[in-house]
Formats: sequence, C-alpha cells, structure tokens
Amino acid sequence: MTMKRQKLADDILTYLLLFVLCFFMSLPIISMLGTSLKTSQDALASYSLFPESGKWYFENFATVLTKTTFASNILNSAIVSVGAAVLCMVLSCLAGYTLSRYHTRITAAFTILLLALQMLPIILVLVPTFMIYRGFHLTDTLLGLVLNYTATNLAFSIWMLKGFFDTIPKELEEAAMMDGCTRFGAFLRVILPISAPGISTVAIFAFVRCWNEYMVARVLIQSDEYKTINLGLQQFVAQYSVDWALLSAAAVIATIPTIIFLVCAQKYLVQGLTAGAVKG
Amino acid sequence: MKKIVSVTMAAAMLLGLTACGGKAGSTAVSSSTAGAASQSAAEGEKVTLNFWDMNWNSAAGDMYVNAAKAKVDEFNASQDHIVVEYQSIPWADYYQYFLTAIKGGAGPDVATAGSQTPIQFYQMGEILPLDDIVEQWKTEGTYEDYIAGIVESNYYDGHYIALPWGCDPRTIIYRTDLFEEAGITELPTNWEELKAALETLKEKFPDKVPLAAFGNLQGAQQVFDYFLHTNEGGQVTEDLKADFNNPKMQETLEYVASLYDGGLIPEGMIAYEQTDAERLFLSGEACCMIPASTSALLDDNLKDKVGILNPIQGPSATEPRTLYWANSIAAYAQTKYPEESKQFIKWWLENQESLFVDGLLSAVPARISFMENPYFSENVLIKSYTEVIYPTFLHATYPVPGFYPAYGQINGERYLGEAGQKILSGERDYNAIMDATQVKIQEALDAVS
Amino acid sequence: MNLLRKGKSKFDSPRMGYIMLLPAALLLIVTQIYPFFYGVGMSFTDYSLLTANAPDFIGLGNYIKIFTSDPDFYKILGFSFVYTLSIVVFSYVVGMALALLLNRPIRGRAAFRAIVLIPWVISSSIMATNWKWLMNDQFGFINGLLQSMGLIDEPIRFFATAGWAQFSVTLIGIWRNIPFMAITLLSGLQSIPSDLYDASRVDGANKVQTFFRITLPSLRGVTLVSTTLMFIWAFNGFENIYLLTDGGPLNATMVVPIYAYKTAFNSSKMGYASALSVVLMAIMVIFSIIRMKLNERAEA
Repeated sequence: MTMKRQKLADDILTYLLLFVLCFFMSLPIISMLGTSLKTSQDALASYSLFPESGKWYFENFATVLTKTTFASNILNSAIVSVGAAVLCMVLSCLAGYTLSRYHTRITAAFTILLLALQMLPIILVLVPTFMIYRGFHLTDTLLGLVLNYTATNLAFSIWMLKGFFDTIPKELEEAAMMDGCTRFGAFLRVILPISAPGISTVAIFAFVRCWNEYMVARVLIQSDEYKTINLGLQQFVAQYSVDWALLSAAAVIATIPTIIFLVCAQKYLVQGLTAGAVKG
Repeated sequence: MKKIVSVTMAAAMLLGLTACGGKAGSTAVSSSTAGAASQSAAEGEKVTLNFWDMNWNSAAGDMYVNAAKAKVDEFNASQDHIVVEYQSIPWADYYQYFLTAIKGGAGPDVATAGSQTPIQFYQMGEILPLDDIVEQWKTEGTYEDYIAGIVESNYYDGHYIALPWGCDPRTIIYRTDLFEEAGITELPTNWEELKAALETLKEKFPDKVPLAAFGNLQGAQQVFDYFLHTNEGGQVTEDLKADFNNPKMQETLEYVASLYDGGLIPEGMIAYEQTDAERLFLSGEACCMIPASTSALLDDNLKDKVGILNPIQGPSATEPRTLYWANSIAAYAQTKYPEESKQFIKWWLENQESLFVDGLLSAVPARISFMENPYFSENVLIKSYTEVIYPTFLHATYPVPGFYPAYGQINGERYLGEAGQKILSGERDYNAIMDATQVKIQEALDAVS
Repeated sequence: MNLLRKGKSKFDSPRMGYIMLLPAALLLIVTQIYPFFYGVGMSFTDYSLLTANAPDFIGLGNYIKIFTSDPDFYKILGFSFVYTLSIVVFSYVVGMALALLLNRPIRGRAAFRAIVLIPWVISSSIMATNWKWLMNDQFGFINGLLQSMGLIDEPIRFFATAGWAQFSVTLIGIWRNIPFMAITLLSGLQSIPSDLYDASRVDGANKVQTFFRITLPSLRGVTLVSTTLMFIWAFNGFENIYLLTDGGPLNATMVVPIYAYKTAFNSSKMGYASALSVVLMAIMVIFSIIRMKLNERAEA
C-alpha cells in the first residue's frame, strides 16, 4: 500500500517537474506560435503569449507563403542537409571502422587530429576556406555546401562511430572472415547492419547541425536559387523587422520541418546513443 | 528496420562515392561568376558584368529589388554589347560577404554597398577609380547638377573611388497629433528647445517615452553622431589627427546625458536594437523617434500623424545641421571589363530618376534635377526633406570633406557608439571617456598611414 | 588454431584500413587542415585587410601583444570561462534531472523527449529573436508575468546592464545546450544494467544513496565525453551571444570567438584575429588534455 502510494507521489512529482521544465524549454516556441497568430497591430504592444482577443489570425501564414521563397529555401536546405548527412555517414563509417580496428601510429595520430579539428575556430578558416572553394569553382553551389558541411561534421561523426564500433566484438568479423568473407565484405554484411542505431545517430546529428548552419552558407552562397532556409529567413527578418506577427509565422514555417524530423528521429537517437555511440 | 538501414547504407555508399567525382566537374558551369571571368572580351562578343546591389528599401520588401531589376533590364536592352547580371545583396553581414568574395577573387564588377565600403576596398587596391566619368560630367555640365560637395565625398588620393547616387540623412520624426495635444505649436530649432519640448511631452504623457531611440553600439553611434553633427563637431581634425576630446564633443556627451538623466530617452535603450525603438513608436508608446524610420513613415496607422522635425542647432554650431552619408556606386579592380563597368555606372547614375519613385527609395537623390520629379516636389513629407533638410547637410566625415582610410575602422568599430554607451550606462567622467576614445581613434589613424 | 592465426595476420594488415580512411582524410586535409595551417601562418604576420601591401612576418608579435598589451583580452577571456563553465555545469545538472525524469516509466515519454529536444534543432536566429522578445523590458512576456505576480515593480532590463546581460546570455546558452546533455545522459542511464540497482536496493540504500553510489559512477564515461564536448562547443561557440547582444553592452558579454570575428571583419586585422583564434584553440586543447588526464587518474 505504501509502495503504491509512494509510486503515485513520485509520478505526480515527475509530471509536475517535467511540465515546468518542458515549459521553460519550449517557451520561445510557444511565444513564436502565439505571435504568429496575432495581427500585426496586436503583436506590437501586448505582453500576452497568445492573441488577447482570443481570435486566431491565420492570414500571416498565407502572406508569408506568397511573399517568400521559403519553398525553394527549404528544398535547398533539405538537399544540402540530407546530402551532407549521407556523405558524412559513408565517410565516417569507413574511417571510424579503421580507427576502431587498426591500431597503428597513423590511426593514433588521426584520432588525435579528429579531436583537435572539433576545436577549430571558424574565424581562423573562413577566408582560406572561401579561397579553396573558389579554386575548385565550388562557391555558389549546393555541392560546395554539402562538402563543407560534411567536412565540418566529419570529425565528430568519425569519433562517435569509432566509439560505437569499439563496443562491437572483433570476433564477429573474424567469424565472418573464416566463413569466406573478405575484410570489406565482413564490414559491409556483418558490422554495418548491427551498427544501424549508431549510424543513424551520426546522421541525425549531422542533419540537424547542417540544417541550422548560417555563417558558411552566408559566405559561400550568392544566388537566390541556392539559398538555404536560414539565409531566406535572415533576408525576411531584415525586410519585415517590425512586423513581428509575420516574422513569427515565417519562423514557424521554417521550423516545422525540423520538428517533424525530430519527432520521427528521437527514438533512433536515444537508441543509438544508448548502444554506445557516446561512450568515450 | 536494421535491414533497411544497412541496404540504404550500402547503396548510399556506392552512390555517394561515385557521385562525388562526377558532380565536381559539372558544377563549374552553374557558377555564374566563374563563367563570366573566363570569357574573353573579343570584338562583337557579349560582355557580362556582375552588379551587386544592396536592398535600398528593405522596409518595403522586394519593391526596390524589382524596380532595380527592371532598371537593369532597361540598360541591357539599351545596347547589345553588355549584359548586366543583377544580384541583390541582403544587409546582414554584407561587409564580410564582400570581403571574403573579393579576397577569394570572386567579387563583383560593379556594386553599391555601405557608404564607407569603397574607401575600405580602395585601401586594399580593389577599387577601380571612376575619374573618367567625372571628367566627362564636367564637360557635359552634369557635375553641376550634384548637391554641393557630394561628389567629393568619395574623392581620395587624387581619384574618384566611387560616385554618389543618393544621400542618407539622419532625422528625428515626431507625432504631430501628440505635439498638438501637448500644446507644442513651435517646432524646436535648437538643443534647449528640443529638450523643453520633450519635457513638456513627458509631463503631458507620463506613460509614453518622449524620444524613442536605440542604444546598442550601432544605435548609440547614430544618436551621438546625430547630435555631434548638429553641434558642428567631429572626431578627427581636417588634417587627420585624432580630435575626440574637443569641447563640442563634450557638449554632445553632456547633452545626451541630460536627456538620459531626465528620463527623456528610454532607460533600457543600451540594449535596444532598431526594432525595439521602432516598436515603441509604432505601438504609439513614444512621441518622437531618432533616427527616423522608414517603417514608421510608411505605416498605415501613423502616416498621417507623423512629421519630420526641422534640423536642430547645437550651442557651438553656426546654423542648424543634419548628419548625412553619401551613398555611392563603385567599380571593382578585379573586373575584366573596366570600360564596360564605367559605361554601366555612368548610365545607371544618369537614368536612375524613376528608380527613386518605383523603388520608393528612402534616400534623397544626389542629383538636384531629380528632385524636380513630382514624387519629390509634391509629396509633403519628402518635400520637407528636400527643401528644409537638404540645405543643412553636413557629411558624416565632417570636418574632413570625404571618406578617409581610417573612417572605415572608426565608424565600423563604433568608437563613438562605445563612448555613448558609457554615457547610457551612467558613467559621467567625460574626460576619461573622451581620453580613452581619443587613443583608439589615433591608433586607427596610425594603422593606415 | 592455425587457421585462426592466419586470419589474424590478415586482420592486422592495415592497408585495407588506410584505404578506408583515405576519403575522409582527403576531404579533411583539403577543407579543414589546409585552411587551418593557412590561418596559423597568418597569425605570425601583420596581415591587415586595410592595405594592399603584402603582409610582413612578425614572428610572435601578435601573441606577445595579446598576452601583454591587449587591454581587453583578459576581461574577455575571463567572461568566456565563466560563460562556458556555467553552461557546462548547469546544462549538466538540468540535463541530468531531465534524464532521470524521462527514464521513469511514465505515459507520454516520447512526447516529452521531443519537447526537450526542441531547443537543439531550432535555428539560432529564430531562438535569439524569440528570447529577445520574451525578455524585452517594455513588452516582454517574462517582465509582464513577473509584474502581474507582484514580484517586481520596475521591469528587469535583461540585456541593459553588464550583470543582467551576462546572466541572460548564459541562461539562454544553458537552455540551448540542455537537450544534448539530457539525451546523452538518458542514453547513459538506459545502458546501466538493472541488476546493479537491484543489488543496491537489497543493501537498503535510499534513492539519493543509489544515485551517488550506482548511477553517477556508471555514467563516468558519458559524463567525461559530454562535458568535454560541451566545453569545446560553448567555448568556441559564436552564434548565441553574437545574435543576442553582439558582445554588448560595453563588451560585457564579449567572448573570444566574437572578439576574433570583430577584429577580423571590423578592424580588418586578419593577422591578429588569427592569433586570437589560435590562442582560443590552444586553450581548448590544453583544457581537454587536463580533463582526460584527471579522468585517467580518477580511474586508476
């Protein structure tokens, strides 16, 4: 009986704390949603999160959709983020496996290099990076962005996957190789399938970080047709800086894809991390 | 699930690795700047110029961009040798964008940018002088059509490094209805009268902010620069020595301090951005606003209740003054086609009149004859700009007639704004503030000499 | 036995490994390592974008200036540390609380998890704008709430005084990083074998004792990795403060990355900005090494 009562008390406390913390975590989102439903005049001078009149005003969304190039911006962001996440996944699987399984001086040096690369300050490399991309004619192309994002996320991804592969016993490949597999075959057919949770975690991390990147995109992309969602949003912010209702509607539209992605991906994220991607 | 992922993985691996090599070659075509640079300007062949243009009326959305694109089309149709490609540049982080592009060899042929941008790039050897055009204008008589001194604002080192198309003044706007209600019939003409008017407003409307302003670095810079110019003060001497601790500067700092201490400007303004000040004015919570905002002038609810204050005179000034910047267009030295770039710039400046109307530019044209356009001569608000404000213009670089190399850093690093923020955070040791800033200004001047 | 040994020798030949490493290594060399050395090279010069002159080699000149005669550097470095360490500590503590709550078998766990992750996926400019609206002194929801509850008379000017501005950017920095901590710690919790807890319960330990005796020690690896990463990300982070206060008012919230950015693009001193970035990176490297060594000692 006391056990039951204790459990009930714990549950109530859990929910209470979760609601408070979740409210704090999602306060800007609530504010954004609420403001997007206000009229421009209403948004200017009220404390409340939602329209005071209680009337929800949906016109802002229609206005945003007709006045912006968000559809093409979102498509570009999707292409770049998915492209970079996939490329990152491929390269980091290959490299992470090597670092996990071969312990030579070169792989040891490479592992240290990866740690150092995560600390690279963006100002140090911004101008030289642009010059290199210019040299390869990769400025103002989506491919340029894909390669840059892949590179900037690679160190973290390889390092996470190395940690993941470390938890998989070597005997698995050894058994497969005795069955006649080549080394690469064992990697492809045995290691990769059981690494799916870790790999998906890496992909999710890379995707989210690419989706939100602004500075490099601002420098590399010129044409409207290649602009990502953050560039489109920034442009919109500059143009409608005082129309907070409209701005919020734009922000809501720009955020929807990531939220959908998150709801679908969070399960795999936890699974992958649990299975050992961040073990150190 | 695991199986799907592993199959996708394997497929992605193959695709990813092969596509990587394949795509790299084909994208060269999609980079328009690369394409232009590799073309040769052989006889009869078309020449492509990249024109980067800021959005000069971002408060009105794409209106300016569309009008400017139409103007470029008009140029392209007017001759068959040059094709100008128009590129609208957003204001956010524009200098960094120019800098990385030009340092990386992918800059524009022709561009408009911040008013100080040409002198910055001239110092780097990246600007193509436009002396030829001024020569031509002098023989054609066009030169006389420009506001006095404005062409010279971009004369440096014996060259015209850019040419002006407009002026960007700073003014104070006010609510005509609130002034009336408070019984202010005479508009203020000097610092004391302005302060008295603000005090009257504060008494009449205790819940409203008398003068909305923003005081982040950029805002503090503008507010103090505005009052400094109405007092005919500057930050350097005419022969380019640091001159921050001068009496006119001290008067300015003391004056804004008295506005702040009197509760006439927002107490929390040091954290305000432009949008925060605009929000106060647009929501009817403020009686005046500095600097004037286009959004407020265009706002449907306010546009009949807003006026522009007349230029103000500081205690040390000889007459009322208005701070302004010359906005200009420049050609960049990396261009493969210097003659064509100059040809386009000359055309652009001479045929720009309709752009002020179609693009609703908030700037005043640099050419006097453009102001005869009914858009300027009949619109009451704009008329007061051109008739009352324009004769009081004092260029931002005063007492230097035009942009000088260190101006980019002095204005860009916002030393005056930093000194102003000290005032806005309650510091009142004027000598210490001025001496500290004096050192920084001298360093900036030394760095480029 | 013989077969196995043969397999082993094949297994240990690193050539296949190097081939697999090659694509990643190539990409990193071209797009990260080369620019890095280029940047380090610039840090030994007086490279200024303001002049067309070729940069002069000045050896350690920039570094000497940073440590001996830069009037702002130590103040900026000081706040960088306070800001970063606050983020690491508080995002860890709140993240741990959330992870413990989300690890309980309750209804709607997936929904709660998704909500907690939101700050992590939302774009920085959107979140900065919204926080500024919420914390506005005239119209902000937070000031309105506190005033209507009678807790304050005058609105709090969250970004106007040095102290409040430092508090606000740090708070938002913590908010931004809680999701990463919560999710990594949650995954750490889920990989603790349940028999450890059973044993503890048999020993009669209460919840707090169990947490400190079982949970925390089991999370040592996850803690090391997540706090080290958090230190690097927060210390090297740029967008949060840049978008909220731009380092103001009066440099109160200035941190080293923004200082380097402004030195590069406002003052055009590329050489000096590069040196600042190298110092920034060196601090992170040193910190990470100390962190790892301390951990090794604790484990030994």
